[in-house]
Amino acid sequence: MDRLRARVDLAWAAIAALTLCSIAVAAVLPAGPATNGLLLLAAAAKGRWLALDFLGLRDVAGPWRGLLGAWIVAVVAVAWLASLAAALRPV
Amino acid sequence: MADVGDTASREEGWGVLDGLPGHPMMWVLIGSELAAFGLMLAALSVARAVQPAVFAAGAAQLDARLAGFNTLALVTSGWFAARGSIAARAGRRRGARLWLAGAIALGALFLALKGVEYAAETAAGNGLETSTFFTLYYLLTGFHALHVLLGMVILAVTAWRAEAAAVETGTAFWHMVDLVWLVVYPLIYLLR
Repeated sequence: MDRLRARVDLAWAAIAALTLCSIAVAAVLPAGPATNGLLLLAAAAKGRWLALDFLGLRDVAGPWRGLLGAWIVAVVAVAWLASLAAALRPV
Repeated sequence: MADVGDTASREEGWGVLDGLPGHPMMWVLIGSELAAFGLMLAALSVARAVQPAVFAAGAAQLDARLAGFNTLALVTSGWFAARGSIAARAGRRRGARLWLAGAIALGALFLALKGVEYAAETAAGNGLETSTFFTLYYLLTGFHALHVLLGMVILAVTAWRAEAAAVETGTAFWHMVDLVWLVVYPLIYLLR
């Protein structure tokens, strides 16, 4: 139980820190696919942390972690490709 | 929340769903919810690619810091729920109830701040039909807020007896709602 508690506490700290970093990155860095990529990468990392330690998938069969990871990757990949397409559109 | 040597709260006889935290039927629900949210988020992304100026203008009118604070509230609520699940499985029912009550309170804070945000947007003249961005903004965040409300009810029901299996099932739904918001937040408020 101590190990579980430590994992959950660490996951919360990491997700909260990445959220604060995302707010700062969005405010400071110029708009565009590179900044969007950083923000989406942070979102994917937070989602993965949540799935493994809050949702408890770290200790279940690999395919379940893969499925949820695939959902996260698919959503952020589509979002990044869309932002790239928007940036490449002729004005 | 899996733990070595503790499988008493796990349902069996559900084939590939055996071993997942909480009741397997909850995972059927979680799968369908993630599919629905995934499609909505994909639609949002495609709309952004088609109307980048509309989305940039719409997102610029939102309060990203307030939404960021709300994200921290929901993430902390998820942390409380996870600690509540651990406490329930250790047989500490009173502790589990306290953690879950904290999770519900932070869920209520999330909804209250969402109400403040909606009030500010409507006062600024940004309604459901203002633009494609605001239509999708209200639909997506509103649909998510309904899930937060439902999650609070589920947490309250499971906290009543604070039995390990029920708490694990209820918190699995709550974490799904949390997970969806972690992706919704950058897509609506931060991307430019």
